[in-house]
Amino acid sequence: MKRTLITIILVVLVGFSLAAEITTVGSGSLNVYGSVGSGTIAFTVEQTNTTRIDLVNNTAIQPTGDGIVLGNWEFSASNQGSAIPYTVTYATTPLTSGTTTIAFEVIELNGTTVVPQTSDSTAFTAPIGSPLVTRDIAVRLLAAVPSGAPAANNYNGSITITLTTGT
Amino acid sequence: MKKHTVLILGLIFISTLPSLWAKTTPQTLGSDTITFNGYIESGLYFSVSRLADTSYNLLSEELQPEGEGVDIGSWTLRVDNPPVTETTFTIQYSYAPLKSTISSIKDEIDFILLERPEDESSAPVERNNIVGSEVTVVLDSGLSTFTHIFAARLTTDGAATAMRAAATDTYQSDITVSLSAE
Repeated sequence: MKRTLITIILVVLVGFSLAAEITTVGSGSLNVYGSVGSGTIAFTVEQTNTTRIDLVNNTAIQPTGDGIVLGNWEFSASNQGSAIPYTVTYATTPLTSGTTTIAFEVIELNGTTVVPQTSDSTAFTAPIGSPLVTRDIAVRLLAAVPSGAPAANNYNGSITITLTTGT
Repeated sequence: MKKHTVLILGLIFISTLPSLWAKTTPQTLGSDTITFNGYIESGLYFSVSRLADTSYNLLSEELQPEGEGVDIGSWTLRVDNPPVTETTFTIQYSYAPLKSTISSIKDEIDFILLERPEDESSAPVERNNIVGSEVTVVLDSGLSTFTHIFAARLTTDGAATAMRAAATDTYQSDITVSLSAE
């Protein structure tokens, strides 16, 4: 027993002496530098409905109707370092046949939220990161078709949708 | 030394101009177009109505060949959204001579129709099973409504038959007014 105790004490002493021999003689650090560039921005407009619409008998297209979805737009970006405001502008040409024109409005559907575009533009702020913003685009007549408007199957109008940034 | 400082500050100012410009000028990042196509069909409304639920005395003066006749009905044609191409609508009358609903009475009393515009803008004209009425609608007509009143008057033969026909209040003739387009 006495011999064992002496052996343990010796081992501990040797260990301390060995530890005492590891000494720091110098230290330095290296930095790692990286960057993530501003990612891409994409804006697409898609037409999903090319059906020619009955302007008199279709209830959805009337001023009190829900409107008819014609397409959508999608904004996507990646690696955005700051929240950036954007503006989407709707430029419409009225339904036209010969010399007759019929005005309509753009309705922006944000999910189930209907936003009549009376100001012809909408603003949103893309958050930091990789934002994705989409809207369905519907149309609705501003007034019922007058009885005097000629019957024709070539009333054509358009909506040009433009994304801009800056103020 | 001062000159160098001014020069450096100037260079810094010039180098920041593009970024200032970018922040204040809207930049178009994308644009595309959706088309909206529609059509309008011509709206036609045609109605025929009876003016009075009256049984007329066929020997009365106004029903004789030289009389003015009695107003018995009217028709109205309304054309909403006129067709792009000029269109003529024909209003045709179809009827048989007055006959008694009693089958044993064989008398047939012939008559003609006298048609005139509701606003009396023109004189009455004779109509029968062969000669109908025509209405022409052109592109710039706008909202077009035409209402005509038609009266009945016995023909010479009809008046002669009426003079000797059986006395009854069962003489009847159904007049069908139909609309057709070119």
